[in-house]
Amino acid sequence: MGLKTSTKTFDERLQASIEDTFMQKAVAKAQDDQWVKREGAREELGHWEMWRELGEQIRKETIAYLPDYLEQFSDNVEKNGGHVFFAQTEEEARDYVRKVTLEKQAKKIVKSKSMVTTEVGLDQMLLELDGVSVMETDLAEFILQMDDWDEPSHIVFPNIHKNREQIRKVFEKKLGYDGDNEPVHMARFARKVLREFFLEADIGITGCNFAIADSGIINLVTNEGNADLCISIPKTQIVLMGMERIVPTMEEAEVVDNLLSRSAVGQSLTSYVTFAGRTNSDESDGPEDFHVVIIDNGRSNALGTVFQPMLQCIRCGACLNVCPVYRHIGGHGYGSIYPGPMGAVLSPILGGYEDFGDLPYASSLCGACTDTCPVKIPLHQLLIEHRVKMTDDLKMTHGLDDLTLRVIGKATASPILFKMAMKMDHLPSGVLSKHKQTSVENLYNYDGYLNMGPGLLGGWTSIRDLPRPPKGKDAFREWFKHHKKEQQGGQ
Amino acid sequence: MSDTLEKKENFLNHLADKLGTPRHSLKDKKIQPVHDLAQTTLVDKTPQELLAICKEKAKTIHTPVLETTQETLQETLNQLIAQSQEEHLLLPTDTRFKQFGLTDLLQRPEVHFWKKGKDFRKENIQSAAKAGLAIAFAEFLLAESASIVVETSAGQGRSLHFLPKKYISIIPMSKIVPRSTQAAAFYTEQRERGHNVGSAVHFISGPSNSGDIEMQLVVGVHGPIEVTYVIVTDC
Amino acid sequence: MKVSIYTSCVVDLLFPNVAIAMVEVLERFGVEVDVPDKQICCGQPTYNSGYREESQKTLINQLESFKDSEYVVGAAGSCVAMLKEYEEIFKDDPKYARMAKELNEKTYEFTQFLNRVLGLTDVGATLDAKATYHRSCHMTRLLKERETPFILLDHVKDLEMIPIPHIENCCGFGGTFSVKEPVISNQMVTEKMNDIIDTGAEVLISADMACLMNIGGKFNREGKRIKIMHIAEVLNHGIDESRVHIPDSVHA
Repeated sequence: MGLKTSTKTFDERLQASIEDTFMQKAVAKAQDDQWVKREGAREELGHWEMWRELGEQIRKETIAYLPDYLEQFSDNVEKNGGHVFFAQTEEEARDYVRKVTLEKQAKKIVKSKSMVTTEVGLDQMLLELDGVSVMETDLAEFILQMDDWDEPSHIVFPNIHKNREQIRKVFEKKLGYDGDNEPVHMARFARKVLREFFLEADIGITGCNFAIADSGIINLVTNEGNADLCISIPKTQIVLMGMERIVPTMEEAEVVDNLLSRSAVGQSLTSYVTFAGRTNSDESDGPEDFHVVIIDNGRSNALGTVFQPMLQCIRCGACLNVCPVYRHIGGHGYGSIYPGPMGAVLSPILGGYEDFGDLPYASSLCGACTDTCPVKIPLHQLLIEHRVKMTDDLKMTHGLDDLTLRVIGKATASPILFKMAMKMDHLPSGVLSKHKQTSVENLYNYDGYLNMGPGLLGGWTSIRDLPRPPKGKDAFREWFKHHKKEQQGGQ
Repeated sequence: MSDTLEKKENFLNHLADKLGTPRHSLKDKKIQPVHDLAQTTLVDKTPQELLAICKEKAKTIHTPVLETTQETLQETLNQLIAQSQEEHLLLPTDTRFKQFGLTDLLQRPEVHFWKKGKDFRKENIQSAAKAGLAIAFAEFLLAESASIVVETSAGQGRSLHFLPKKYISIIPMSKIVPRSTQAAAFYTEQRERGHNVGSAVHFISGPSNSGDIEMQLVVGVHGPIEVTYVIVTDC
Repeated sequence: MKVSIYTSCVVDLLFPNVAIAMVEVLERFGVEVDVPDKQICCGQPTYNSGYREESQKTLINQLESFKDSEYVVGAAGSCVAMLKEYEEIFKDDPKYARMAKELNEKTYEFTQFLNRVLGLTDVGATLDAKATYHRSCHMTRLLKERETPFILLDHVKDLEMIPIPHIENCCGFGGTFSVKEPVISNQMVTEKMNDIIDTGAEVLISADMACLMNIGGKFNREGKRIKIMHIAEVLNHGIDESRVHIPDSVHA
């Protein structure tokens, strides 16, 4: 699938999203439920702000020495008899996995949920290999796969846009399921299908929540236990990790796992928190062949720039769960496998402004994302930084408002121009359609409101009314002058 | 220089260039935490208080917590096995069963053991997949999250905890610690001292679950459907 | 004690009633008020849109407008937060770093000033109504003020405050966002409107006139009834002089 999930324009995706009222209701409900669970879990822990500071420190200091930690990790994997491959690009990552798959003559591959495998387009590559079948084992990813590889819409709950009946139909059509749409029945059915496949799997492909530098092992966090089966049954394991997903030791991993669990699903710890590497020589299951693919694929664009804090991200999805824009447009609106605020910051870093330049503007800068981020990434500020890059640095223009905003910049810098505007703007608005009948009290006190207008005003009045400004003599500054005079006269 | 090695060097040099920090600047520097909240949270609690915290939390993850003594452990397990109505039992090869006086359990006809050695890979996995119930000892119990910690060894593979339908964990009271901090610190120290650590350490909190269909919590998607903790209070 | 009113564009251009209410409340408590004539805009619309160079002059104009003020008190949580942000923006500027730092230290949002500087809780206001409060994002998250409006509203006589569901959600204003992304903005303001309707409140109060202009604009477009009041207007309503006591802090 790759980073980019859609060939439609941003406006087309928006339109599709807002027409999908089921999705909107589902996302709103998910956000509301998660709000209660997440805040409850954080409150239960206590001192949340201090925990965030610790999380930020760990991630920041790790990224600051990223090459050294990666080298340490790589050396330790090899010491344990595993293999590490450094992939600059997604092609290199895919080629390496293909090579291992062919060498192992693998027939069946199980995958546990991993955003980075989707980012590098791994599934597509594997499906094109003769005689190889692939199974996503996370329930949500499994459902998406069965639905002809529908795109994920959330980084923690990829399937949030589908309801139970839609899922039942997919199971019926693709797997011959004849039960009802009760989640527990469908989940048990999936368990059976997946279990059979698991037991015959040759390769397990996993992502990596955190790599542990000092021991060459991988930390995986799930609720279903599918990742644990992926690293137990197949003889070969291939780990794909974004290069920033690393911590020095298990002790730091433990802290960020706690932040992750509470932020992602509102639990004190997710059901399975696993630390594992290549199997030891005296153990009988687990991977005898252990490969780690460390992937850059554009992440290094952020290093040494104002965007470096984005690499602190632990993929908890809390920023999606509080975002009012995500609430209404859902994951597919973003056109990237990384949606929501983290996606609006990360996608342009990885994929450039050509494809993802709209995303930094699709934010009201309400700051809810920054506020909730457990590792204190200043997300909404980084959205502004993207805008700066696009306007000041790259001189990209964004439609009519580019000129308007440059004019506003000039007008708001000059008292003389501003005052002229204040005096004038009652005049031109007088020629536009105006209305005095209002259902709203105390908002349109000065000669009614406008319900249509040119240029930027059109964006406003297309959905809501705009007050008309008072005439010059009614303006506050005039009032204040008289008021002062009266005060002085009275003294 | 091999291709792979060259790639690695180029990759890491590129990152160092972008960062503007030369490689190998880290040396022996360690992260000095801004505070010791992780180390101090819940450490003032007595084992009994920790157990109470654990029991409260366990309710939220659908996991019964039973207390028993070493003397009544066998009986408690017998009852649980009977209740489970499972016929295929899987146990690790673990000396603790004998130490805790569970010789009767070891001799039950329906009990199968995780066998040591690579040759038994397939057999062990299949036995685990068939098992209706696995019983194993935990290394730690994390009170805050009601999680058990298990570590792989020759006699106790990874699949033993995930493939059986039901799972009983036996935890000596002395193994209750406040939270995941203590377990992570233990294994980090083991490694620093050069001691062997199993290739996989799992923190497990109750049965497998998923909220992937309309965010409605469903228990038992991949791993065990039922999990029970048995605390042995006099050790 | 002397306060310079920081009008902010929306109030300056469209809502003289709000600034007048602020002046009247402050003067009622013995504060001397002025309105520096040079002031215009905090620069947020262009700065947040990524036009950093274009914003520079706007920010400097604002800095200079208030350089001699003792206190700066603003009508909008969002604009106040931006003014306070200047310290960070100018921190490496040899000429303006100090001025920006001083501005940060002496600038307050209106309710903050009343409560945190003057120490007021009861300003003597009365409003016989059922109302709800829209907590603006920037006041809450950038200015980090979650308390003072509620403390002051708690002491308005006869006022019944009803909590709004999803208080944490943005109303969809977001400055230029509201005109650049009207489709998304519409979704957001529609949900906000429905949440407000669900409270059964007759009056919608906020400390940010821009949000109120957005939400009120949606109510009007849909023909739904509501009365809009900036918190300064509420605190200036139905004054009971017997409850007005000039605090010592004013003379300090």
